[in-house]
Amino acid sequence: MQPNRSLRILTISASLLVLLSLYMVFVYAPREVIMGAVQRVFYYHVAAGWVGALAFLVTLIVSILYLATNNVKWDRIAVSSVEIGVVFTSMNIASGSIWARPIWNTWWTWDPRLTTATVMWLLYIAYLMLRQGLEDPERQRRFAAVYGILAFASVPLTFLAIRLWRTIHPVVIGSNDPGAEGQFDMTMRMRTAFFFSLFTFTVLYATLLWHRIRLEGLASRVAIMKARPLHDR
Amino acid sequence: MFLQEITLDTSFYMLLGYAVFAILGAGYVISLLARSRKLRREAETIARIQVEDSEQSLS
Amino acid sequence: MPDPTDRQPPTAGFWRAVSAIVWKDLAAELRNKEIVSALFVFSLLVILIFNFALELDKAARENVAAGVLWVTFVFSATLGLNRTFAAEKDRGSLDGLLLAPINRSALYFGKLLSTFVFILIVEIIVIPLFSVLYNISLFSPPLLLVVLLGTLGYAMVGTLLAAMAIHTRAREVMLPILLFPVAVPVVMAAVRASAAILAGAEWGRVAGAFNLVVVYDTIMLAIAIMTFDYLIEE
Repeated sequence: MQPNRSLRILTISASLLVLLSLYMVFVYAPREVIMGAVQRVFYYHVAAGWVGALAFLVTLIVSILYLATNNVKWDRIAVSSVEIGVVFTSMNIASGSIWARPIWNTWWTWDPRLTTATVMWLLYIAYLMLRQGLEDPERQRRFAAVYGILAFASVPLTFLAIRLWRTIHPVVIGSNDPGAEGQFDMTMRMRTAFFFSLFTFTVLYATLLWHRIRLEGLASRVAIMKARPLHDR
Repeated sequence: MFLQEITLDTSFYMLLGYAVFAILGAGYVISLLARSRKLRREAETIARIQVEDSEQSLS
Repeated sequence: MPDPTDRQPPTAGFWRAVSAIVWKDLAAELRNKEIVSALFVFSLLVILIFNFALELDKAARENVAAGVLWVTFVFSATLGLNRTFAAEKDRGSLDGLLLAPINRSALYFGKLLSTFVFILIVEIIVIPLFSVLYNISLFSPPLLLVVLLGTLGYAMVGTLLAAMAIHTRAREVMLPILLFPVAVPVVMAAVRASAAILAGAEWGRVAGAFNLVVVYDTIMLAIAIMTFDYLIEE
């Protein structure tokens, strides 16, 4: 089957890319001077955040497409993308917190990006809960699509609002050096590792999305099979 | 630069961070596999029941 | 996606439908006054709880006043929104409204306005009370404007989401779950603007937050108008 083969190639490629990126992150990229080893978390942390945002954007697009065309395939992509987005946003938040701990001596900073990621996470979860709470499948798809659009629109506004708030309440940082804001100079190798991680995660997203969409298709078929009445005895 | 070139030893947190990526990533993949297997099994079962049923109604 | 310009321009019929819905809800409320009185009592309780939960001295009280005010508004507005479609759905009159030959947007605007009026009534009562209890004058026109616009933004999104939540199993809980994350920008901006105004900042400092509230309201209204139809089709 054609789709199966392409997917298999993609899956293998994604796995290889992950292995390669791990090499880049742990071996190729140099150790950062100020933060030490934990800085390496940055590569995957940002990549995960990027995928979270990408997944959300995809959800927006297919939500609009679903409302416009009423074609179920768009909805399958939407729910799949949201689920994957939750996973990667969780990675982003957790790794962000872990990165913060040794550097700023706190498990949490109300940093605009991290806080926006958290709100985005809550929006995703709400999306999934909405779907779960609606029994009628057609209504589930329609309402979820509307929420997908609304939720995405609120994210940039949230980011602006938090940034506004933060200019009045600057974060109290433990140390005084410029590394405190999470900034550090990236050498050429670091840049390479960084962009490679972004690329790897994007491919990973596409792979997982494809698998998840197929799963959704399978679930639909099984649901139809269940609904079909048994032959009269 | 400062005399103390001793970089912070933050390896523990690095490992913790990557453990998060590994656990969440692997966890999700496993969940996909598990759900897929469950659905396939359901599909098989239903197909079998329907075949048995149609055989019964024929006989 | 249906082109918004395909919609009929606001004709007399449209606004008549809107006001019909608004008057219907207001009249029903005037008859038994349950919503407004419940919201008012609730707001009072929230203010009192904050008072006991946070032991505030004068300086601290001034710092948190804007936040406490908005938390009060948000909680009671959420309760008010919960009721927006509840009565309709339970009594089955939602179908009746849908069968009426009116533009779907009229239903949205009607519900939005009636809910907004209810919340506004409660806020009008709460604000003087809050001023007394917190010993801070809230009677400044810029602040009242922020309250108005912030509440409106919250109600706009809330009405849209209430139309969704009403069909779920855990209705009362579902609305906050859907609404709070989406409303984060407007609530944060409103609190920021309110706090700045109460602290006596000049307009330049308030403007950023205020503009964000306006932008939020505009964007969300546009989205609501474009998508409400999809929530109501049967």
